[in-house]
Parts: sequence; C-alpha cells; structure tokens
Amino acid sequence: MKLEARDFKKLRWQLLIAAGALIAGGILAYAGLAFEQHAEQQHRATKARQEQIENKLKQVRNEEQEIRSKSALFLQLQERAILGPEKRLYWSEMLADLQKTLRLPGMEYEFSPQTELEGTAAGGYAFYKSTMRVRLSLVHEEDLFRFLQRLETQASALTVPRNCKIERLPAQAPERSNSLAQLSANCEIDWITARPSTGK
Amino acid sequence: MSRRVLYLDSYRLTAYRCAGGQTVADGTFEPSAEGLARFGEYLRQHASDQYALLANLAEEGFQIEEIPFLRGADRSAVLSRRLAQVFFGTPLVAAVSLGYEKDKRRNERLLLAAFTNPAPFDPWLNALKQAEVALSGVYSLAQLGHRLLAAEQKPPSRWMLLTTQDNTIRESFIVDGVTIFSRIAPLTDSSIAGTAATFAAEAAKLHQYLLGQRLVGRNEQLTVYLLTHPLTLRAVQKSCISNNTLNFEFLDSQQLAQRAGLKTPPSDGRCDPLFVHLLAARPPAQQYAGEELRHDFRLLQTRRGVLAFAGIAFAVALGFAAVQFFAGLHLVSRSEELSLRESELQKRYRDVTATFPQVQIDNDALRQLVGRYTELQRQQSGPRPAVAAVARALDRFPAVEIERLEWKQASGSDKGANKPEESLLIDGDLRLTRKSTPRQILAMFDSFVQALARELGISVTVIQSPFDIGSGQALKGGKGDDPLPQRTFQLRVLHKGQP
Repeated sequence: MKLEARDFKKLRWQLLIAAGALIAGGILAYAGLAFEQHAEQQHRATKARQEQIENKLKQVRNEEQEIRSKSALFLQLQERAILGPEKRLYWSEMLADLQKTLRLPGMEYEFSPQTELEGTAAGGYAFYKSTMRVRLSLVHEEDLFRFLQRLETQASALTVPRNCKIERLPAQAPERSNSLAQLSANCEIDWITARPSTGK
Repeated sequence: MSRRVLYLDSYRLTAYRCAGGQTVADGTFEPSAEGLARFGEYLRQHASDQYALLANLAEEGFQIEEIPFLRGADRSAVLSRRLAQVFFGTPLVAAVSLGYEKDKRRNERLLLAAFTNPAPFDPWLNALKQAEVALSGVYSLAQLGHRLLAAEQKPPSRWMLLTTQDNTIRESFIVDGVTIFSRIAPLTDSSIAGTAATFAAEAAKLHQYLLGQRLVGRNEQLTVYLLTHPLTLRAVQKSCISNNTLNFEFLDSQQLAQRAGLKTPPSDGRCDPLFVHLLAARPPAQQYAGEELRHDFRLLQTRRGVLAFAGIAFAVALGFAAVQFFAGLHLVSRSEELSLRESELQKRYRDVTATFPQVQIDNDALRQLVGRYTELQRQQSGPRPAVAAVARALDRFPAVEIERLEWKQASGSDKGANKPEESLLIDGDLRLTRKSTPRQILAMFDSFVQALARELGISVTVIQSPFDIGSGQALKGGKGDDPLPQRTFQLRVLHKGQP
C-alpha cells in the first residue's frame, strides 16, 4: 500500500493518540521506576541505619567494660583539666610548689605559646601543646626524675618530656657555691591539653 | 464502527448492518441515478464503517489451472498474468490454491475465479471509491456455500449445494471445501411447489453438466444439499427423491441460521441474510477486489494497527509501572518495618548506654579520644629508664665517670608505631691507673659499650674513643710520662623507650 498525503490526514488522530499513549506510557513507566528507585534508596538507607545501630548495640554490649573504663578516664581527664583550656596560673603555682617540696636549689622555666599538636583531631577533640623549657639545679639526678614524676601525676595537662640534658656542674660554677647543687638539667617538656575541635 | 455488507444481485444493492449476531437491511438501492445518489448519501452517513461487497451475479467464471512451484513475488506475478489471460477484461478476479501435485515438479493447482462482467459492479464500486470508505473486499456467494454445513455434519468430499435467493437458485459444486463451480438459474415460479420442482430439475441439470465436464464419475452418487425454509421443506422432500446418481439431503434454513449465530433468521425461502451473516462473521481469505479498491480498507487496518500498537505499548508501560509501583510499595512497607526495628534498637541502645558514666560524648568519639590520649601518654616515660640503664652499666665499671647525658625523644614523625624512639648522648671519661696499657683501656671501654648495648641499646655508636688508634689520626707516645693523652669518650645510644 502506498500512502498519499490525504492518507496522513486520515491517520492524524490515530497517530496523535498513539503519540499521546506512548508519552503517557513513558511517563507512567518513568514514574513507576522513579518511585521504585526512591523506595529502594530509602530502604537501603533504613537498612544501613538499622544495621549500624544493631552493630552498635552488639558492640556496646561486647565492649561495655571497655567503654566504662574509657568513660571513667574521660571523666578523670575532665577533672584534671586536661580536657579544656590551659590553666597556666595553676601550672606556675604548681611549679613553685614543686620547687619548694622537692627542695630544688634552682629552677627557671619558660612556656612557649600554645600550638596545635601534630596529628588529626580525635573524637571531636583537638590536642594542643605548650612547650616548657626548664633549667633545674639538682643535688642528685633522682631530683629530676621525682620532678618529672610529680608533673606526670599532678599537672593539669599531659606532660611529655621531649629532651633532657643532665650535666655535672663545673667546680667553679656559681650554683655550686650558693647551694648544694651538683648537677644541672635542661629539659623541654610538652604540656598537652585537648579541647573540642570547634574552637580554641 | 459497524460492519456493513452490501449484497449485490442483478436488480439492486441491499445494505445490511451486521452487529451482535443481527443482520438488518437498512437500505436498498436501484442501479439508477437516484439510487446511486442515495447510496452515496448512505455511504457519507456511515463513512467510518467497514464494508464488504457480496455479489450474487450470473457472470462468474471458474477454471482450474496449474502453475510451477513458486513463492513470493514470482508466484504473485505468475498468478496476475494467468488471471489476466484467463479472465481478460475484468479486474474482479481471485485465485484459490488447491494444493500441490505430488510428482517431482510439485506444480501448484489453482482455482481461478472471476466476475467476468464487471459492469454491474462499476457504479457501486465508483461510489465506494469516491466516498473513501473502507471496502474489505468483493466476495461471491459461491465462496460461502461450504460454510453452511457445520463440521459435525461431515459432508462428503464432493457435494452439490442448492439455495434460493430473490428469483434465482444458486447451484454450487464443492470439492474439499472449495467451490470449484457455481452458477445461477432463474426461479420462474417462486411458489412452494414451483421452487421444489425447480430444485429437482436444476439438481439433475447440474449433475449432467458436471458429468459432461468430467468433474464427477458416471457411477458416482453425488450428495445434493438443499437449503430450504421449513415451510417449503415438505414440498421439496416430495419433489427431490434420491436415486443412484443423486442423494438429496435437506437443510432447514432456520436451524442453520440459529447454529450460525444469526439472531434474525430468514423469514422466507430467501437465504441472503444467512450468507450476509456468514460473510460478516468470518470473511473468506480470498476475495475479488484489487488493492486499489481496498486502499481505504488498508488505511483502516493501518489506523487499527497504530491504535493497537499504542494500546499495547501503553498497556506494557502501565504493567511495568504497576510492577514497579507495587515493588516500591513493598519496599516502603519493609522500610517502615525496618524503621520500627531501628527505633526499638535505638531505645535499647539508649537504655544500655544510660547505665554508663555520662560523658557527653558518644562511644566512637570516646574511643578515638582515649586512643589518642593513650598514644601520647606512652611518650611520657621521660629519661628515667635510659638513665637507670646507664647507671646499672656504670655499677660494673667504677673507672667510668659520666660528665653529661643528653636524652632526646624522637619527634612525632620519627617515632615508631608502638614505642617512641629515644637517643642518648653520653659524655664521660675513664679514671685509670698510670700502669694501664692502651690495650687494657680499650678492652675495658669495649666491655662498657657492650654492657650498655645489652642494657638498652639497639645501636651504640662510639663518637669519640678514649684512645684513638685509627689510621686517620696522629698517634703520639714514648716520652715516658702519661701514655694516654686523651681519656674522654663520647657515645650515642639509640633505643626503644618504654612502651
């Protein structure tokens, strides 16, 4: 059959209906597919959330003791003010008190400005350090270790010695004439605190 | 859209509307100018309907031919040529395949049929063409004869059929379901007795003709089916008595109409409505009109095809969308179940964690924070372990005096994963007697270095030896005084600190 121009006129409504049906069908199919995909996405997300909380619950039961001990440590850090802003006034008071308690013949120190510690923030907290350069006159090297041990247990920061130079004082050194000092120690100690990483 | 059958005989054209098993004549048109004008108007009024033309005219030709075994366009070309040769001057031709010869050449046997005089058709076909209505085809009454007998009646392979229309009797000879010869005889006396007598006479005449044409054997008894109205049945039975050559069987037109599904059975002896119904219900595959006449019918088929395609495509899309929609609904329902389960787990999690110390930090963050703190705490040990180890070594070497210790923890990037690395720089000197030989001095120094290495070192490097015997240095002696110009030493110890 050969189609002529007049034939298309006769076919126009059917062609229009067919085009309409195809478009409507396409829209329906697309809408159905989109709905299914959206539902699938929602389902995957919900399933993932459900699995996550399930794992969390399983984990929290398995690690109850660990979490308890870590929570206790956290509270202890809060109590010692290791978490939170630096308490430099308290530090200086504690150092003066230490010199007196340990009967150190001489002590000079200097804190550098606070800087962020290397490494990424952990658990939403960022770690900062203030490096203290301290010069101590010692009667015995054990004085240094006691000094460091007191810092470790009493300071409202995590104190990490980075370097220490211990040397015998020369016979003519002024410290020897003024006191019982036999040794001198020059140390660099990081005073580390942590704060929520949202701001200093 | 309705199906309409136009029944054409020698005198007029009758239009039937066929729907729901009913065949209703809704127009009769004479082949005059007035009749044609009315017919044109009728077509305009029903322009969207589908038409078929059923002709009951005398001028019909039948011929059996053979053509070579062919397929496709070649067969069509040969058929067209053969039809044009056999029935010259008429476009209303048809060919029915009767099967293939069983010899090697497998020639095809064909029944060629035609309305040999197209003149009675012309005005009506022109009107149909002008009105641009869909004409599915032109059919002959002879084509429908075999359909009168239902399958369960199991007619013989060769039989005759006689039916009455208007003032004529249609006589058909049917072989294996195909009418291979048919003709019309006038019914001059249309009374019941006259019709019965004409049936008997025409049956005998047709039998004689078929014998003459050698289409039946001389000793063959041929079954003749007579289609009659119940009112004429008794009279016909009396007139038509079976004999050695003809076996008469009588068909009740009312019963046949009912069996064929016609709800408006013929009210008299005329069988036209029954044939019209048979054509409307299931038209034969072959018809007589050329493609030019059927152009609008092809358009109608195209329109239906387009709509069917669109309908199927829409239905498929609808089905697909429905499947997706229900799958989506199922997922939504499952998501809701999961959400409920999630809420329940959240609550249980909160219940469990409520018993923990309240730290305003979630467990993962707590774990990270404490982990980092512990890592830093491992670096807290300071110089004490290293200095203690040096002191233990010194206990065994009283001649060694330490002047200076420089302890250093490696910076962050230099540290190992578990243990911080430390270095210790030791400056000291050896307090020996004057009798000590250089060999003894060096032996004791080596022992001290080894002791240090055992205590804490992964590597002990001698930076300055108490007695330098290296080839690159000057070596002095022999003056008799102090044989040891230099007793100081310097060592560097690298070791892993406290974990």
